[in-house]
Amino acid sequence: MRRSVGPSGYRLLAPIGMIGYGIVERSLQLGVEERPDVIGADAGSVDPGPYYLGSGRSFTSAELVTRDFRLCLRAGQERGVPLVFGTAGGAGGAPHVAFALDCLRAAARAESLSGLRVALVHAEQPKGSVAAWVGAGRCEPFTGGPLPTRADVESCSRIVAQMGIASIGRALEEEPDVVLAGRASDVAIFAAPAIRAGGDPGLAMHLGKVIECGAHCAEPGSGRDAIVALLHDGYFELRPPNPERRCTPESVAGHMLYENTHPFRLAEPDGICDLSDVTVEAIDERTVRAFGARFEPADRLTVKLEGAARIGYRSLVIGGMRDPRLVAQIDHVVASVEEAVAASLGGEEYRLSFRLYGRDGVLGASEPETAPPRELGVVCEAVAPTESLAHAVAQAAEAALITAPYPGGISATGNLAVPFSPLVVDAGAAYEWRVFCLAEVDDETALFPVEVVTI
Amino acid sequence: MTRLGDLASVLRSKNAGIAYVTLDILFPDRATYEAARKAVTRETVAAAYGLEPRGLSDFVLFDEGLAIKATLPRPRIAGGDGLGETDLYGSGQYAPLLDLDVPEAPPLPGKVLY
Repeated sequence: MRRSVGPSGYRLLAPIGMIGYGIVERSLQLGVEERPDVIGADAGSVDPGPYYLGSGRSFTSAELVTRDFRLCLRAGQERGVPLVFGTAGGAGGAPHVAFALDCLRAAARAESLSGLRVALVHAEQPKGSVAAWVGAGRCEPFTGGPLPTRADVESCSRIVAQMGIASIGRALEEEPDVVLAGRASDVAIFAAPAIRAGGDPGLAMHLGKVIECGAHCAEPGSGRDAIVALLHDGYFELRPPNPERRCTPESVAGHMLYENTHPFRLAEPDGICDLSDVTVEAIDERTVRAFGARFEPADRLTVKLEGAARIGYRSLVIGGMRDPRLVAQIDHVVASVEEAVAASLGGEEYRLSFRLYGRDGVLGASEPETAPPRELGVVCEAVAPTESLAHAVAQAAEAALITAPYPGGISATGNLAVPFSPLVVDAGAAYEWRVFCLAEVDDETALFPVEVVTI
Repeated sequence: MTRLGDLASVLRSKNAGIAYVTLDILFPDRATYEAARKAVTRETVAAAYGLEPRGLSDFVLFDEGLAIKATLPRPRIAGGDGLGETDLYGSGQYAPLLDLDVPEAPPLPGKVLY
């Protein structure tokens, strides 16, 4: 049977590239006036690093997530269309989905809405299952990341698998008001409803990839602003609702390079989207039309696994140095601080690092500039197995930094310009990625159960 | 001397997965892209980062998109090792390319060439 979205096409609105970044109300309203058939948004990312999956916390705040959910609920109810959110709660594990559901409840209450059906799609995997996949040799490296051992799996606080189009499709089968999915492919958030509406999978996946970052594909680009896509049989159109932005062939094509090592083949759990024959053309000053993407279904199901393990606790010392003589001898000073800390806490297990902003804090070893700065921002980081030890290491480093002598120094009142009290900031648990690979699995239904709740 | 930072319409870096940083350079027109192609090579990009040419994991020219993309291995997994990370998103790593010299660049509008 030939797939078709029908004569009017299928319209998708992405109000923002990340729930919790602050939806622009005016743009959302303009987008809603275009009568979308679905409203979707990415609600999480691995970009902010392993802390969030590991700790169970969201990198987006309850206040802003609830606000953005309120605006989306209002829009969805006004149009009578479903909302789809992927990688809920910032990282898409069990506590993150629970956090997002709490925000959704609060948002519904604030909008005086009740009886909303929410299809949750769970993505956290039992460590035993992941260990079994490792043991059975079903794991493959993912873009140069490490291959985990059974011990790596066991050390993680939690592990999620990333769901694709099929899983979100199953949630949409329940005809909910909201799909609140755990860790999900950002493409699938939009491709799943588009395919369910009869859209071509290749076009749907390309469309999903472009709009999941909101108006980042527009000129001037912004991940904080809205974008509307209209899918027809054979092509789709893109235009940002904010009249101050426009989609051009360059802005859309440029977006395809974003975050990919190669723009032409998009790998998703469900298969590959081949973009090598894509054409993007301008229809008018603000609208483009794109076509040519092709879907190659996967002959086996592989999902991306992400797992974070706690490596200890972190404490920080932050301060400035403005004496050029001190700045010029910072390497000597850092060495003396490291020695002093070792002398106080020798035999303990800890790690100490210094970032020197103004010199090479951002580029590290790649910094080409050699001219000495007049000021340094020093961030001293201690990581140790316990909070108490991490704090002690940082405190010892602060004491040594403040009092470190250096040749030619004439100012011995304290080397560091400290910006606030306390001197040491205890930053909580520190995590690293310990599982970041692909796994070949048999059945996505078993990995990503759908649960419908009413709020 | 014309610098790449003055010619490119987009010059950015971002993580591609957790083990690589990808650099995108997009140009506003074909003439600028063609001039830049001669100066922005695997060798000159690697040198800008203090690397041998084979130190780039990928270097691709996109003639249709008027774009050059280079990919570097990260010194560490993003946020990994728990400390020593300098740029979690990888979004601050493009700076060494700003000053890359493009000798045959077309004149910039409104600028006087000496």
